[in-house]
Amino acid sequence: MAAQEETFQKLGVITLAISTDSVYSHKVFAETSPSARTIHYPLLSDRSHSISYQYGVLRAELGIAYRATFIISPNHKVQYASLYPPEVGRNVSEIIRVIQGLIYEETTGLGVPAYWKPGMTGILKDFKFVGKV
Amino acid sequence: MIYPTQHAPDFEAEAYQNGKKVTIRLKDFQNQRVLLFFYASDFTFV
Repeated sequence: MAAQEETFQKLGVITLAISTDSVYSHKVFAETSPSARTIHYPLLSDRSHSISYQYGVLRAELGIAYRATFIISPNHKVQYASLYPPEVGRNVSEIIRVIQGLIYEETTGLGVPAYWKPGMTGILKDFKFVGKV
Repeated sequence: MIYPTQHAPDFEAEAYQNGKKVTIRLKDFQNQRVLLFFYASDFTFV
């Protein structure tokens, strides 16, 4: 995420990172970790676990959150939600693709097919095209 | 878990940003798309 902060900014997206660590831990992390040192987005502290619980991503037995990602629309509806296995890191380029797809659908009204990337055309969603594309 | 099309619950949290301790509320970002990502712990891979 840190390496793609500028990409998210260009897409008009506010990035919020959150863990159950304290703000004191966040401070030292941000000051010492080579990747975290470059971050400008806020590191939120969910020390009471209430936000992780509310979003349904708390691992209560460990007191930590799953590696969960949410894209929230400008009117604050969830548009995308994912959980990764704890053992595997995120594919940030897929999250960027989903945001690009959401923006493309909003501006063109076209459907966004599998493996779509910016520059590719979308799909007409009218019922008369069902079975023809 | 909150699913697509469901309302994103509002929240308020202390945060660290650019050397400062700040308070972040989801509702401060009305009319902006938000990427909210949870991670397990500081000092681990995100």
